[in-house]
Amino acid sequence: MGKYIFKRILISIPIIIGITIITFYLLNVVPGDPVVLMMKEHISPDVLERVKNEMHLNDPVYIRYFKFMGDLLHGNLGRSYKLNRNVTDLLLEAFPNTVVLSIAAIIIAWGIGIPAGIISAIKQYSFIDNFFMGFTLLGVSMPIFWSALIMQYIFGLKLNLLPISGFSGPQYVILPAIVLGWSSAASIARLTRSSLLEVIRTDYIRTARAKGLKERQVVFYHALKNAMLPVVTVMAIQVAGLLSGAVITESVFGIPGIGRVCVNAIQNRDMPLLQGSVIFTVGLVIIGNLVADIAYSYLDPRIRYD
Amino acid sequence: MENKKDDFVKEEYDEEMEIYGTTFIKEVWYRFRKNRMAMIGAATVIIMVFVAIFAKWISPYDPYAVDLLKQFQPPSSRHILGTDIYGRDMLSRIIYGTRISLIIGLIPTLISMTIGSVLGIVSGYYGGKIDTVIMRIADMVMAFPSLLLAMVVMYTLGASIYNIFIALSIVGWAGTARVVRAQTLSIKEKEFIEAAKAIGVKNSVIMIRHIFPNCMAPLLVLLTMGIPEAIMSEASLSFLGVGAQPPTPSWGLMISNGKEYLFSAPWVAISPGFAILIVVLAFNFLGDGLRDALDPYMKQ
Repeated sequence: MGKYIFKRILISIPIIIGITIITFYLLNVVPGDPVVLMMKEHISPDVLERVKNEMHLNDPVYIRYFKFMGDLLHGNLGRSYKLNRNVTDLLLEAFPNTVVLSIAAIIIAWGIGIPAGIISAIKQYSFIDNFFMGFTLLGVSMPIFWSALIMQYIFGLKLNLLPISGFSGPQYVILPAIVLGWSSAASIARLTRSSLLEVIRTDYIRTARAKGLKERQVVFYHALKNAMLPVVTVMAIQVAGLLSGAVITESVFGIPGIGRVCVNAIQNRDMPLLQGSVIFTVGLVIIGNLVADIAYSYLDPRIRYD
Repeated sequence: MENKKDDFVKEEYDEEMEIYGTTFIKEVWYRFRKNRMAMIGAATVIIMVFVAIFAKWISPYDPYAVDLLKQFQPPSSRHILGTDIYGRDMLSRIIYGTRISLIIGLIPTLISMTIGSVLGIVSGYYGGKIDTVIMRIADMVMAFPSLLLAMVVMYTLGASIYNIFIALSIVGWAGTARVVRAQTLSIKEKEFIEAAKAIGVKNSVIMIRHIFPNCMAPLLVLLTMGIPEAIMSEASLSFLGVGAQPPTPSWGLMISNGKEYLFSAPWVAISPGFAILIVVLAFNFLGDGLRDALDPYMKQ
């Protein structure tokens, strides 16, 4: 087990390096001079040269990359052009908000998705199965920003129940979490359903039934354990999905999280801030993948030999 | 002599493929036809294509015609879905938006699938170092949340419809490459590939004529699943302001413009969302149906 974890961590290192290269090169070949952008057009050529030298913008890209990597290893992601503050500080300020939103969304996703999947599988082709599957299909087919606006319209304006924007109390989390969690709930419910249906048809379940166990015992003690295995792996995909979704959800609901930092950085053409938030986010996704892989191999030892 | 023999083998092979091909398609169609949701999806997609092609004749007004006197008119018999801030007819804009959405759905998906197929086949067929390099790059691309990578590419290239093609192609190829590689790995062990190699068929010909056609089934499913994903990504990018630019009637952009007036003129933001929902649902039903119809052969 320890060996597998070690190997798995080792594999992610080149991927992380590759991602920093891709992000750095994509963002550093942008046409347009960041210094001109920062100080507007009326800037004397001397000052321009001096500032560019200070920011190492005259160095070749690969040297800038190594310098960037060196800083990154010290936890320094550079300074924001627009806000003139440390990118790491800005990200660490925003991060807890994204975490709160993501956890709330995960609770909703799992709280709805797993029971819906189990009920749908047990009552296959019934009305309730069709209802849940239709409801969850709606969840994956609606653009997040659109469902967010509809939620704002219904619960914020028409019913006047919940605040629609900002992030200063628990009631502010509910709407964004529902919006963000709904789309994940859909994939969890579908996966739980199909996985449980597959397991229920296996021999050992027939044995369990044959020895006269109650249906509830068969489903919850025998079938569910194996059926949940693929659902666990979806966790990894969800970290990526949640963080992508958070970009949109946070901008619609005005939540000062990582996603909003990212969107603002693009709007202000704030390269270091964008670079920092992208690498930070992708780093989280990779850690999520790693945790899910390890959890999966722990739950299902067969996977390690693949 | 050599050539003659080759031709003979080829002819017989083609003949067999033809018979096999027609029955295969017939069988798939038979299974597909029985799936009601898939048929509804297919019909909706066909209607959408017609709407996109004949947008000019179907839409009641010019989607770009500004009439400030008619600003924010609620849905009525003259403007079925109301008007936006510039007095433009929402229904006409949504109809023209179908064009953009379908093009954005199809072209980047085709580009990324072409790239993905080539890299996937090469990777699976040759294996070794090429395989490792291509697959590690695919891993990196797939580690990015797709929206984030598309946003970064759009930041670099600048916001415009054409750059969305590039951004979505860069994001999408890795998934196809993985599927095609897996398919190639299983096909290249089959006897007919061995036979082709034995009679001296070139590697490139084997890949194009023998392996690629056998990847068509999963590719078809990937295409129908990729289109709604691309449509959704375009809408998200445009919503965030890094995609289509005004006055393009992109659905995502229309929702984004409408969100400012959600409380005074909700129809502006709400109605384009239904259009996205319908297209995405239709393609998902179609894709599900196709996968189920093709499945028995994919499992073999």
